[in-house]
Amino acid sequence: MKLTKLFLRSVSIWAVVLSFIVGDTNEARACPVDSVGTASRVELPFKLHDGYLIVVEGRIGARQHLRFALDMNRPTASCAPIWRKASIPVNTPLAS
Amino acid sequence: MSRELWDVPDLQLGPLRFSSLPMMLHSLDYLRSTGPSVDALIGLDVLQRCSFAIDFERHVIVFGTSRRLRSEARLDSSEPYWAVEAVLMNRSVRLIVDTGVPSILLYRDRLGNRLPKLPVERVIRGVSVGGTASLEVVTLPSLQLNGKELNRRAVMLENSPQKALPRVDGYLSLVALGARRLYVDVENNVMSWE
Repeated sequence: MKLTKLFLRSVSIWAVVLSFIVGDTNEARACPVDSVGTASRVELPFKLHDGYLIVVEGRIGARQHLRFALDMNRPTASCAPIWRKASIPVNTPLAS
Repeated sequence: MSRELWDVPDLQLGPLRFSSLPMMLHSLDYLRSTGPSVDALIGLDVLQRCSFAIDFERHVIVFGTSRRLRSEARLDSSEPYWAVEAVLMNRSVRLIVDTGVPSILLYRDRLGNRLPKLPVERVIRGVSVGGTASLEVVTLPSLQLNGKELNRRAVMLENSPQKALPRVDGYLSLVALGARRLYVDVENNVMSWE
């Protein structure tokens, strides 16, 4: 039952809304990182939750051990507004 | 609900480091209500930048070009999502590839007469950013992706979002592929798995 409660997580109209804000994400084809060391292949470990949800660990600024879920049905990365209150460094909003 | 897009500096995911990454700020409470605590979501803006493989046995995502795997399907990336053409009872259905759903999800109103009335095994509640909805658990008679049989367990949602995702019939969970490894070739828009 727990598994089935989550069916609609990413079912939303957000994909359409965000597409107008972000634009064409196909333009970016370079390697996804600014620095990958000397290796041509980069491995990112993940944990699998409930048999399907892929979660990786990361950080923003000094905030460590944050959990990022992989969402292929989302044109741009997302995070909770609470981070703004927690003084995580962000620049001027690009859009609102 | 906030829809602000912010430029987030100095973001790191394992060995991957981004000096700047646009991120949408909005509530992720709906995720926390039923699942593991998640602080953020990684979208296609990151994933589309280079090819990657998801190894479900080793639990690693490998960024970089790799060999294609045994089964493959073409990805349509003309919209802000990846979509595939699957075959449901000899009729084509268009599904969004999604890591956020544990099984195939189909919109009943989009399928129309392409899918006969199926026995409903049970009704469950689904949770999304848009709220909750009733879902009917069914077993599909047949579903293939480029000739490869998929897991036929699915849920049906009666109504699709109005005026959104107009050519989409539902969502393809990666779980339905039954894959040990998945490779997404973003240069050629091909997904392969085995």
